[in-house]
Amino acid sequence: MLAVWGVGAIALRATLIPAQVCPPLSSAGAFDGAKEATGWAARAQRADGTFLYEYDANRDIDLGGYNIVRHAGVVMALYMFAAEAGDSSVLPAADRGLDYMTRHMLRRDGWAAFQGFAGQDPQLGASALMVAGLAQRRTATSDPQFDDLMREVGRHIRVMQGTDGSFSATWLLATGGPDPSDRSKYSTGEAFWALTLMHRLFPGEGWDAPARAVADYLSLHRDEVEGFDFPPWADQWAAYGLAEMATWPLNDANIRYARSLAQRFGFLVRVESQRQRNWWSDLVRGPQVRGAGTGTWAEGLDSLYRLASIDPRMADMRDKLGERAACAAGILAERQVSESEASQYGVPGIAQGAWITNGVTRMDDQQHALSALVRAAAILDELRARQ
Amino acid sequence: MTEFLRMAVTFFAAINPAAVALGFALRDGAPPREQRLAPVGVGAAIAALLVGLAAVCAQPVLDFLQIEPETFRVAAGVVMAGMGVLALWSWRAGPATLPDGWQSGLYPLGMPLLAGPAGLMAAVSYGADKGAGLAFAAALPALAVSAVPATVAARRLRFVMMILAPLTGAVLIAMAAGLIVSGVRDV
Repeated sequence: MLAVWGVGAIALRATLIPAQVCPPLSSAGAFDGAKEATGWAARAQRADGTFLYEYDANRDIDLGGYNIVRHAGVVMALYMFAAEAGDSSVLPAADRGLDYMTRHMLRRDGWAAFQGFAGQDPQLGASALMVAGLAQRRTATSDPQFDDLMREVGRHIRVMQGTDGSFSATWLLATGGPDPSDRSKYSTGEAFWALTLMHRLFPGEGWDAPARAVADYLSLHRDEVEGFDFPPWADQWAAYGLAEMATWPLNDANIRYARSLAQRFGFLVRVESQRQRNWWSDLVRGPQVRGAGTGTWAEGLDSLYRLASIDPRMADMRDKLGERAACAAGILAERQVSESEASQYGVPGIAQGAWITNGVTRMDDQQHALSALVRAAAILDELRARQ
Repeated sequence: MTEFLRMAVTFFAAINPAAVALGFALRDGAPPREQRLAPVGVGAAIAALLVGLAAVCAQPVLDFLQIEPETFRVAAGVVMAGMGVLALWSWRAGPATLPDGWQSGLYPLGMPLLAGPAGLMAAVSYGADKGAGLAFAAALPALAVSAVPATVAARRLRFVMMILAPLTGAVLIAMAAGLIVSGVRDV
């Protein structure tokens, strides 16, 4: 009988409960990792301000393609690093990325949208992350030169909002209005966060009302209306917005939503921490997710930790959120390509500081991981102080 | 349902008094009723010791294994659900013939009938989540209740027990599902 129990225990360990490995990380280590990622962005930036989009590091092949939402996201992450770390060395690269955006705007009826390529229907997410990036820039530099541009783009975001607080993902040049049938699981949260940042920087201008409307849409209706199978959709952008609203304060429905997001992000990080780089782990736990995946979960946890530090209705989750955020940051730091590891690639400069999965990195891997690490640094400090 | 009641019901379903009776007192070759007291006493004591040990050592064991209690909850639920399915199929643990005297209290009564995989997993999970004292306290009623039919059950009750055992297995599956969901839906 003992042999049967032993075999059962080994099978259990090998399949359901492999060790959850959370590599230790200090706040300095998190900053260093984020700084390395900003270095990647600077090295991967082209003369026109765009970035290397997708790259096969093993074969040294630029896989081409571009995504303007992710462009705005990388620029935002660079400004976020400047704001959170107080390090202005990233501003030149970020400003070049911003310059690309300001040269590719669509202006109508008093609003402006980041259009990207000429003739392309503007995507809400690109404009929303542009506003978020400008808000981070404002925080980092106190430079007001883009305040009016933020308001212009903010007005576009409001034009894209429906009466129920939801958003259309695309503005159609052909019809001259939002596409009511096009929803995006990303851009609603991005627009939400952008509106909350607008209210932080320009209180009294009415940005809070549309932000509250989308917060309620996200909290109460989005998963059902937009048909997500396993709600809540793990939306780190929504988590950013909720954290930004922590002192407004949030209503009970928003808190219930925030709690469900915390549970989802926590679960995802717990599962990820059990994945190792070997065939058995691949078989029973699935492969490790790319940097963008772990990065978004870590961003969500960072934001919800901040919310839980302020709102007493989330206080019971605070310690666990901190632990999971630290775990995710440790995982990210461990999987980042170091200087010595980069030397094994054909072009070390484009591998160093990146998160490479199956030989490939995409610029949003660096974007999300960078944001996650720089925001985790404060949490790591707090956890260390508590210990 | 209060948390303590939920834990007590889970332990009751995990230990499954009807299945214990079928696996010990009502099986072929079982000792007569007047000779069961010693093995049941030994079995109950062994089971209480093992469950208590599992609850007390839960956190150190999980720390050693590098497993968060929330993650272990899912594994415990899966094991419990599996044992619930076995109870539905009327599977019985234990040897073909019972050892003589008090030794049958050690095996199979103490372990695995009273302290089986489901009960021990529940003890570790609740011990880590709710504390060893509460987990042990929640397990004691189920152990005590299980000792009664193991001691006094007569063969005429066999049919009743054969109905109750799978029903209790179904309850275990339901409680296990709750534990799995709780493990998934936690930070």
